[in-house]
Amino acid sequence: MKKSIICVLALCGALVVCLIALSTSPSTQQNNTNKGAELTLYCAAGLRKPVSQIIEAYTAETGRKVNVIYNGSGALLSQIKIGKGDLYMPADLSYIEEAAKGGLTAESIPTAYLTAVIVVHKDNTTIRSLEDITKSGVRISLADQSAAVGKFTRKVLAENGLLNAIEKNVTVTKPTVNGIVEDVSIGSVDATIAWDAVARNFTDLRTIEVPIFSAKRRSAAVAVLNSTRKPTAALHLARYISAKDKGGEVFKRNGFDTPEKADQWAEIPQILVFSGSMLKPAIGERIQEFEQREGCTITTVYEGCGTLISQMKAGAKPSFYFSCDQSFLDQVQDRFNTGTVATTNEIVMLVPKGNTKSIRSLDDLLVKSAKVGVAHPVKSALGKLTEILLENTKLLKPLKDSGNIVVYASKGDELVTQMQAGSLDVALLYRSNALASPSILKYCDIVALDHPEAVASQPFASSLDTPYPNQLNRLGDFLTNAEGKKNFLKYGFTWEKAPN
Amino acid sequence: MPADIAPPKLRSDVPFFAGLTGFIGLYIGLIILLVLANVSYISWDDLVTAMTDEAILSSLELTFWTCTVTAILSVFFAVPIGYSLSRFNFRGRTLLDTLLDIPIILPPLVVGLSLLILFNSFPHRDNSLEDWLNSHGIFVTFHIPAIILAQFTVAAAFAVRSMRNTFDQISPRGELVALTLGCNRSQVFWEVALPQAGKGVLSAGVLAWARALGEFGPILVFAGATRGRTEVLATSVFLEINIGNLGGAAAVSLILITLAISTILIIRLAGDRK
Repeated sequence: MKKSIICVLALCGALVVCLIALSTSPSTQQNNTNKGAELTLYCAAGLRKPVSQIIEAYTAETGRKVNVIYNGSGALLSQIKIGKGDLYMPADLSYIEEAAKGGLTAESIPTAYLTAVIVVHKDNTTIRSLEDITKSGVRISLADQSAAVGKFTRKVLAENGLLNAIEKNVTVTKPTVNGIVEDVSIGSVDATIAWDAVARNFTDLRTIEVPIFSAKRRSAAVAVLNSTRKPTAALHLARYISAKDKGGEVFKRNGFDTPEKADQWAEIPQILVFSGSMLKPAIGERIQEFEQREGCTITTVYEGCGTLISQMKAGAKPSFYFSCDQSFLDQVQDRFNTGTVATTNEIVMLVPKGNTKSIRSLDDLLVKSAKVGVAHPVKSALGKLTEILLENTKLLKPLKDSGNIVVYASKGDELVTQMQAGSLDVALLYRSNALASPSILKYCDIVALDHPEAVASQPFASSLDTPYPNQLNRLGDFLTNAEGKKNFLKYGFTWEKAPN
Repeated sequence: MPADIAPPKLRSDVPFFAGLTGFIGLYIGLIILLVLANVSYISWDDLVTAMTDEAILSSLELTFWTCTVTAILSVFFAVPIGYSLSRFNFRGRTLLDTLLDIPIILPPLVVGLSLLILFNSFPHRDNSLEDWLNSHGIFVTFHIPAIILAQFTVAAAFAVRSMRNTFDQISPRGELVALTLGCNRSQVFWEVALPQAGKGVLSAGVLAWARALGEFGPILVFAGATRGRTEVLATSVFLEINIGNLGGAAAVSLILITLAISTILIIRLAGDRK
């Protein structure tokens, strides 16, 4: 009995020693500090080399800890469906698309390009093209459909009618891209089709470009998971991984092609947004939400579009411009990317409740001693559009001559204020200007014009020289996604942008 | 063959021993060739890189301690369970026996997946066991306890099997005699059964330890493989292969083999000395 108990006690002692060793090992201590603040990144095992270097640099630079889970892209997708995490980085965008479809991911940022190539041993001189690997006697390893490269190559080969000829030479199929490349390295097959960046890790291998594959580069990206509780921290890391002067350089060093258009790294990016003042009610709050989520600082200038354009011509350099009308963006198009039209907004007439002067159409503006308010044609898009509208309906000159125009406001919302103060009989403004004032319908009525020229379209665009093109794309998406759309509709805008 | 019956005609034992040697030689030859093939793939640089790599060294340390914890825990569970299965005939014993096979027959990845689901989506994703543990300051998924739990789930089942065989092979006679002499069940277990099972406990422990060492499927899923934190040697090998660093993978394998052989050898020698 004594001996047995001594043995049990000895084992208990050993257990305690082990647990103490584990709890004092540096790895656990790292773990214990700030566990809640740690990020979890699910990363494709094939990207491990560059990603582990990037994470190491990230932690050294920012002191933020990252827990990386490496596995196959598809396997990670299953893990994400069950567990929680912050970021997902598969080897191919298609996995992110699939995850996004299932509502698992939010934003995604491209990080690197992958091109499929033929991989052979460097001493192999007989294989030079796709045709050579269809010859009889050549042994090929091919990735399984479940691997990104397998899915992609089979699709492209089938489209080009080459799949059958190649499949007859396939001697092995494996679930990961590394597996099929290793087969070539070990010599168990003669050739494979794999991502160039993976093959470049092997010094004993040679890659052969294939035009039909090179024409369709695939991109890897990092996506923020919807299950994250720390979206700002997750985006901070995602921006670091994709930044051209941070993660991008590491990817390049490891043989990956990187996107030409990538953001520069900044701990807190500073963004200047110019926006037509008509858009303020629809986007104001969303911009603040974006700022919080992304951890950036956004300075927003809301003004009449004409004023904004002159500021730009005078040297202001906004990186994002949400214009009241396409015609204004056209004036500065040389500085911006092609705009995306989000909404249209209709010019209406705002009249006092009950419409005492019976103003029902544009012609009624000429009624004797009607006090008409319009927006300034140079300072604002609204004014300019109003002028064009009046010009085309041949009313501009008569109206000017009548002396009925008592106010040229620089912005549409000024007209709303004046209507509320009772100083006008009618104002020509956007429907959204009117609806932005919560109480306006108590004092005023809206008279629709139903004229095709009475419509302004609102595009947004990011500047060509911005250091943060990706972040601005996200800003555009954020302002006009399903959640953003609600705000626009609430203020009377008509939706134009196709869903993402 | 009892010694007192002399064979009618003494034939040579050479063919018999030649046969034995042949089988031993072939299998041992295969094992040695495997190790040699592995070694042949390693360049000196790979080995130096692996041996001086902080991450590999911490993974070595982590592997050793987690395997040892797992082995001890497995023994603690295996002894009473194995003893019960061997000595007592009770209702549901066959069912229990079969349930104990589950960790052995399940593919390792399924074990990891089930653990992951158990902790993170059960009973509900937003109200899981892990959430509850986290709120009490305990982190399992993707942390060290996950490694031990994943190893233990599988290793304990093997240890139980081994302990059961041990007790099966010990004749219950001694225990029955002790009972008739007035010992109670507890005394019989501690003073008669367990001392006889000493070697069996040792081999169950070694089996559990070795099993834990080779485990990587469930660990990869349930604990992840964060460099320097939850990466054990078996996952290091897998990950090195995944980035195409075959030399590095082979070097880590060699470290793994060395660790395994030396530990098991030390335990066996210590056991024999007793």
